[in-house]
Amino acid sequence: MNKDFIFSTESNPTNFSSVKDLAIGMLVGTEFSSPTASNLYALGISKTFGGSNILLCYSPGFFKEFSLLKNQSVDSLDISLKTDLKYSEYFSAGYSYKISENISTGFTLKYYNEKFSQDAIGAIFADSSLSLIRENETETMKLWNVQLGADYFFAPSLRVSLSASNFINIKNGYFNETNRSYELKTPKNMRIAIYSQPFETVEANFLYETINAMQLSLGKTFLFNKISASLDCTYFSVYSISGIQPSLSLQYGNICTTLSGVIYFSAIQKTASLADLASNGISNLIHNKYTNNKALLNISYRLNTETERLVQFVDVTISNSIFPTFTEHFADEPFAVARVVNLSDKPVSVKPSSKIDKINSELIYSPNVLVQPKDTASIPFYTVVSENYFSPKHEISFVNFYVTTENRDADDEMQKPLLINSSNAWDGEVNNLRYFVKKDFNFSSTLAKRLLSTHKSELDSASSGMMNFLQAKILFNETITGMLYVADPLASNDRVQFPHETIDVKGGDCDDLSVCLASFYESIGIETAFVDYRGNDHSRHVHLLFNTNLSPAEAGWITQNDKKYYIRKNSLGEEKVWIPLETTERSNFANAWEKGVEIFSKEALDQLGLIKGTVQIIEIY
Amino acid sequence: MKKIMMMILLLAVSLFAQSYKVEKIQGNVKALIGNSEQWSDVKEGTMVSPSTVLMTDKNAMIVLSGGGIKFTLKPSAALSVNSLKRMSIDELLLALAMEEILSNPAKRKNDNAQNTAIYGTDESKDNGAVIPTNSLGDLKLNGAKQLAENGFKETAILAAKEAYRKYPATQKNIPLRFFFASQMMNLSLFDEALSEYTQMQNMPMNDEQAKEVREKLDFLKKKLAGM
Repeated sequence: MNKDFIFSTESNPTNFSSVKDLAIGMLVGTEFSSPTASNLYALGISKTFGGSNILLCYSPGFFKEFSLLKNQSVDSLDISLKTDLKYSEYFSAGYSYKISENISTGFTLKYYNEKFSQDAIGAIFADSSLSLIRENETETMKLWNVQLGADYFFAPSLRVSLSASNFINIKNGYFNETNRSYELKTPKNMRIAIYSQPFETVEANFLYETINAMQLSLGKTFLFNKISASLDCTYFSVYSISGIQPSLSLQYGNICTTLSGVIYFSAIQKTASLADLASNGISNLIHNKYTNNKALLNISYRLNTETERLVQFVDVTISNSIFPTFTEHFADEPFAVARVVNLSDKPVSVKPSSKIDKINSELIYSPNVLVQPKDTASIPFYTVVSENYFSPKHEISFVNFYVTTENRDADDEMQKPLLINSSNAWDGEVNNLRYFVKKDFNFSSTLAKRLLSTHKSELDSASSGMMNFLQAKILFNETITGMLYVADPLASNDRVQFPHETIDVKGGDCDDLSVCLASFYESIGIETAFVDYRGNDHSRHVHLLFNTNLSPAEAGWITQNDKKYYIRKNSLGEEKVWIPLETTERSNFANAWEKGVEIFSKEALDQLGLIKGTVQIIEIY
Repeated sequence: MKKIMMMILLLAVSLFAQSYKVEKIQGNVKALIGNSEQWSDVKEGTMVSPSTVLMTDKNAMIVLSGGGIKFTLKPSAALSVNSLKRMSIDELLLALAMEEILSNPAKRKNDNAQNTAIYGTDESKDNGAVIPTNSLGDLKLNGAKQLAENGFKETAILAAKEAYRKYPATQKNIPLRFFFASQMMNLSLFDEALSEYTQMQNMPMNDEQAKEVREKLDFLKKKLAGM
């Protein structure tokens, strides 16, 4: 649509521009008159500053000249008198402002110079004689012509332009009565143009003017590797003049070349009388009844000193506050989702990244998302919390979101506040307790080994098959036995202690004790699973299942009662004996086991909790 | 979804097992109550709760009654009182699904070895079990068979599957596996029966049994393929 931007004032009275930064252009033309006349028609420059665009066009070739000869007899003497009429559009300028993504308004200003000179016969009286001489009278008129209007995008592929011409004309100069009849006609005119792109590579445009002018054009773009070629054909009708303007445009990178021709269907008047000119006049220097078929070559170069933004944020929604202990949780679960729009005409691969202040030391990249042209896509943002981060209290931080495409710098960025919970905070999902188990692994492993070493003789004399069971029993009795059950403070009922904290304070609630015991067990290779119980009154409870690593046939080594264990497959698909432990039953391992069986059998099995979803078994790793 | 919720509601009502009165005892009958590790004697006229497992010795029997049900546990059998209840096919399917959930943990993200091997002499000791666990498995399988013979086919299948899982040696009892697989087919549980016969296919058995397994597998595959 803007391949011929230096024609803007003629075909684009609202100065609508798609020039992103700076464009310069040159238009040369050849009029097939006899002899042919070639000219530099125009030189133009267009510059965009933010939402504003300014066009300046110097047009030495936009002129129309008429020469008429009139023979006059004076005293049987024939005198040839010449009349020259020259209409020139020396200069034009345009300004437009993009009010929003959909609306742009602007105006164009054309500076015309009309210079009419006529020979006349003058008489010089001497003492006794009269001499006739040819005199030349020249009058000049300067005309500032204003066109203004607005463009509206009903859809990315449908623009409507409405403009008014010749409502404001500023004249400077004087024409006598005769010359006034030759003056450039500037009838008041309303113009509506519809620019559409019904298909990705097809343009169809329609224009109507109240001065009884219309224009229809159809264009198709072909893409070849790095070159795009457009074929356009425009039919126009202005007053009684009609014709077509076929054109071929080739664009390679920033350079665009357009070769077009103007072929008139109507008969062109090569000669006319002054009376004819006076009665019809001309209102358009390009298309008028005295013009010839022509060929035009437009070469333009677009320079982008600024990075072209291909995508842009519409909004970003923070879906989760950050729980810093869930180090890898946000690598699977997005903490924010952005809506991003592709501003370009091509599919764009968007690389999202974010950096949370105090949590990330560098940018964290999320998976690329392909966004179709002019489409809006939801892009999830993931992050990884540094394992070294620790904060005993909640704090408000901020996160910088970036979307990057093929450009070196981000196309767009947005900052949002974000709540970072304390390191002990837990979202109530038992699945996420495993992060608390893992966080203190070194502590748990060291303490577990130290505690087990004090039972060396007992362990050495046991069979290898009994090792998991015995170690689990010893660790329970050494750590959980004797602890206090302490509920969370009411204000922070979703708080979980790390194992070293539970050992330090010698107490905790069900999740603290389960996390602590699971950490000890897992740190020495005993598989565990949390059992999550959800009551009807939103109450929650959690305890442990652990893998004794005994086969079903070996279950008799630890119990005569087959209701006290469950058969579950391990990661290799082997069936093993698992037993439940109620960690809040702190008297000893045997009682914790019995209590665990009682609760699990009742809630998970008898009351169908596993099917209803009120009881869930959550593997810790 | 609506159907599943309905099934769960029905199941929640009907699955509550009841206690039974011991009407008659003959010979040596023992009971394992709740989470106890000790088998105890059973007396006539007492009530046994659903959490009780009853075991009859050779030549022993026990008659239970309650809720319009009268059941005789014949010699050399073990039975959880909890199994003495009526169950619909839907309820059975839900119970089997629950067993699946329990016995198949989600795969660990980290498949590294959880523990290194221990080298040295395995000094496993006799754990002093009153009843060898494999024997208890056989008794339980007998108990499950008696359940089926008395019309409790659904709970019999559950009891048999539990016995197979907790006492793997019982899986080698080919005649009883045929018995329970046929019970599944009688209840139109073709998927479950197919799974059962598929497992049996790899077990040592005589030619006649192997032939029957092949025939059943062919039949079930065609049935499930809708042929």
